[in-house]
Amino acid sequence: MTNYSDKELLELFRESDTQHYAFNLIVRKYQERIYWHIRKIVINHDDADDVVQNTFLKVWGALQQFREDSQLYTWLYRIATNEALTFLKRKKTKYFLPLIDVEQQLSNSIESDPYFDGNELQAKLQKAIIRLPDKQKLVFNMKYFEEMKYEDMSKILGTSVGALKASFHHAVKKIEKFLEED
Amino acid sequence: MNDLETTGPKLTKAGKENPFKVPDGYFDSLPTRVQNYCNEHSTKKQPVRSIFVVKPQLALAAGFCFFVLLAFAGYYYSRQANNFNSFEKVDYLKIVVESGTEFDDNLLYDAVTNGHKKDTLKSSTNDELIEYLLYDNINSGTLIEHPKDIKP
Repeated sequence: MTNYSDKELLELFRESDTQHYAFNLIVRKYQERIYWHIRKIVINHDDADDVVQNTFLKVWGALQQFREDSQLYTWLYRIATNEALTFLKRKKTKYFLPLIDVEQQLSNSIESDPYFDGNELQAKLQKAIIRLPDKQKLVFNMKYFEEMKYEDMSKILGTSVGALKASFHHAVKKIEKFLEED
Repeated sequence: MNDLETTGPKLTKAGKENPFKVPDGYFDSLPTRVQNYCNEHSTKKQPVRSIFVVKPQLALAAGFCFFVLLAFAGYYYSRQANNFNSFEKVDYLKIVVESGTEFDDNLLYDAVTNGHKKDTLKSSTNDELIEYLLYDNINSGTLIEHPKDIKP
């Protein structure tokens, strides 16, 4: 696969002859990052797969209007984040589950998930992350696992760098406390 | 991130490795599945019917019409009521004839007691008087029972 820059991919996408080809290249380029970002929010593989497809469907529909005011990948992350959070909210309202039950359900699904390959401590870490508020959960995953810059996170989440640093600090303290229990 | 070891020793021990995995060949097939999914949903998109496009405008127009009709009905009925009350200002014959179906004894009585009303009965021809007396719905009881009270 030729390594096109985002700018080149967008130019290809705007040509009707190469639109599908360009979109395919965009999916190939970003699919893993988007998938793992979503997977860490929704935990379950099948749910993540649905959310990934819906994310790219949204991208397909809106890419023509993308004005390059922001970087393509921060724009994709923003869509993916919104889709994943909307999915969890919908799941909660669909089954009339209070938030705590959704968290419990996600925690339980870690142990029964055939696509979870971590040890006991990693499973406990994931359970601790699930308990975090949405914003802290996102910030922690993006900083800790994806090692994303705060500046980029700021563009994706629409929050100041200072607030993101504070969220990460609070998240680490909560996780540490959870990991120290029993 | 260096101070993470001091603020989160347990977290550091857990490591940064991704504990999740995906089915074999998942990322190889994902672009094709995404493309198919997008094509499927793009073609499935129902053409937007013009009725749905103008729905808000239609609702607004319907609401406007409703209020216009309501205002007209209100105006019409209030005018009717005014007309009925305006019998007071006309004359005794009109009171009896025009309000024949809903004749109100009190209305005629009030008109008579307000002595400054004109009475077209005096200036009426015989034919008009006969027509008046033969009028189907007239409440003649009042006229018969109190003939002396009714003095223009």
